[in-house]
Amino acid sequence: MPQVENWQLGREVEFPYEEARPERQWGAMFDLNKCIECQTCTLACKTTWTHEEGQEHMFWNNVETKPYGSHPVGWDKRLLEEMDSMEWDDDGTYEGETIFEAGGTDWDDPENHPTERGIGGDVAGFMPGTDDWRYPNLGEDESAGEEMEPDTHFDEDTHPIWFFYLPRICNHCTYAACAGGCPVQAIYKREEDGVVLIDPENCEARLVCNETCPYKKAQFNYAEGISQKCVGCYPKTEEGKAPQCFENCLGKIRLHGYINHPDEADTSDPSEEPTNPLDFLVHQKEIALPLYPQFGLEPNVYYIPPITAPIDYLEQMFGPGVTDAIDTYQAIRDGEEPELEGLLNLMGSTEWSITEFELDGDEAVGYYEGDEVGRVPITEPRVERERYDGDENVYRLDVT
Amino acid sequence: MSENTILGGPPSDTARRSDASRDPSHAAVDSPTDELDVDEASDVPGDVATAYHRGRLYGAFALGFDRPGDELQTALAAEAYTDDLVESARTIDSEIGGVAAEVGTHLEAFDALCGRWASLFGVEEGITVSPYELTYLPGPLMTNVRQLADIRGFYDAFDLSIAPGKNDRGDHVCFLTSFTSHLSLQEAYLRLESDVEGVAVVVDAQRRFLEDHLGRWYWRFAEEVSAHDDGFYAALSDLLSALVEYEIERLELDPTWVPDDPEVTEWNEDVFGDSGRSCGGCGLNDEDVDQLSWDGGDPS
Repeated sequence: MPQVENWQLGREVEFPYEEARPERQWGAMFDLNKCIECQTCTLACKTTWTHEEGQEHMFWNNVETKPYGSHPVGWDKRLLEEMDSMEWDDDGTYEGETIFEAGGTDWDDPENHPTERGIGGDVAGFMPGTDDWRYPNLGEDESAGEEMEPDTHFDEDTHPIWFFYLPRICNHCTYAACAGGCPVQAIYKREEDGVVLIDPENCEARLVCNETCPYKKAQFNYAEGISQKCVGCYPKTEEGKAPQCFENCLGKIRLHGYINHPDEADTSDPSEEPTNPLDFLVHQKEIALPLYPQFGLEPNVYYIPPITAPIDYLEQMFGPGVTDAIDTYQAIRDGEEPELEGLLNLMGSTEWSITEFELDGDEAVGYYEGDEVGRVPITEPRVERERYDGDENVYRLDVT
Repeated sequence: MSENTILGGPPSDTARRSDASRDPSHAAVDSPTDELDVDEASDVPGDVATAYHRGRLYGAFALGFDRPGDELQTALAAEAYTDDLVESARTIDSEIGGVAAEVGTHLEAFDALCGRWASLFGVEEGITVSPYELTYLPGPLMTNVRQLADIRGFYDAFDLSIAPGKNDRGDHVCFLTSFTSHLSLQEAYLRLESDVEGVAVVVDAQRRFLEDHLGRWYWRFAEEVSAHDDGFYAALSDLLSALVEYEIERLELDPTWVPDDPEVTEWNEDVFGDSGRSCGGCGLNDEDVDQLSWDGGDPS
């Protein structure tokens, strides 16, 4: 099996196909501190792409409550339990096994290639059953941690009682497991933008993609007799517009753009010149992190982790960069990162994808391929109330 | 996409390209002529005259079903509107010509026509007859929005968009007929230019548009109009029916009929409850509202 470079893991990983990167890579960033689980994104996607017969169970975009929510049921927990140690060394190299490595299969044997036989059983993961798709909002708003008491209040940044919302779409992975597992090569990654698509004319409903995608974003349409998945709203992004779930996001938590490999990342300073926002967030500031990078697929949706959830849980989900990312996020709140603050305010201010941004005085400006598409103040007016209200003898959770 | 990478285009496209490369008479596949057999384009049914007159008839529907304004008033005063209707209809088919002649017999004073339009299609009386395609489709409005995107896709494909100031939805019967008028006039022009491939493209678009959109619900629209009107608009919708039926036969179409529901409303009552659109669909009906008690206190 070819060894391919996975920069998120700091090492080469096993994958059935050779490394080949697109001309540019569709990418996204979600700020989990802003998501209120209104599910507007979910409905925007559902009404656009998956409202036909055979798609009832499909949510190409879903939002689940963590740690207890999941769709399909237990998609991440069941896979994590199957994988062995998932340790990282001190320099950020992943020492555990990816989903393609965990099975111990001899991939160099040509007979083990996906096109020779179904490899679902050789890749860590499971095939969701009908019941697993039944509960799209399982675990909603269920909190973890300590019991809530009448006088409970939180002084620490990490809350002892916690949950957060995790919006999920296809990650359009660089090493897409759905494509890697397809026995008939019906799944491909577009050269022009790296969007991963299933070719409906070639899909033979072998369902291996449903099993090998660890994020469970390849789903079977029983009416059409083919598997389907998020298309990254490519008809919109080709025109420069953000995908449906991004444009409709009420919380303005989402940024759509294109991300480079770290060796080719845009290193410009947005205070001085237009800069690629995803490169800035992911490579320069390292505040946005991939979802379960240890699966080994180099997913291209990045998340700013929630600052109130326990670090160990977040590190399992987003890798070893969580503490630094949260520190940086706190620095934004303290007014020490105007470039990031401006960019986070720019998100959701326009229906366009943002390929560059810069600061212009006290404003942040977004561009799509050179054209200005958004302009917002770096710092918005804010009133902060006392955390403890002595008159009412209550603590406020939300002080802004 | 090759054997050792996941990067590339769809395998089926690669197969088509491969087929095309074997036959030099087949051009690139990423063009509007996809799935068209250009070699057979010269056999596309129709001729210059009927294409022109179909275009003129569809254009007359777009004008006639729109809220009456200066343009219609001028056309009606000079009798150009009804004369053109009859001339074009007779050129296409004598039976359709007979139906077109009925429209002129129902003409009335312009003010009366405005009132008639308002009572049928105007918001003044709550849109008695819906001129929107989505209203007639099965399932709730929420799940039919894809049809709007499909219609918009047709407009985009021919570089058309809804004019500024026209605030109606893209599935309004005026826009649908205006679009088919545009396609028919383009067809006439392309036939004059002996552009065989171009004719194949626009006729294929007419086929698809009629089969997927106007051809599915025109008859229900006509039924609804006739149920609420016995004058100009009933006659005009009968003529629309006659023309679309002729088109379906001429182009050998097989549209999926919309349901034959006795009542059609803009909002699906199953989704929004008995109160329909009146209060945003909270499920509370008018009687429930009347029974709500109010102590007269300051609601603020």
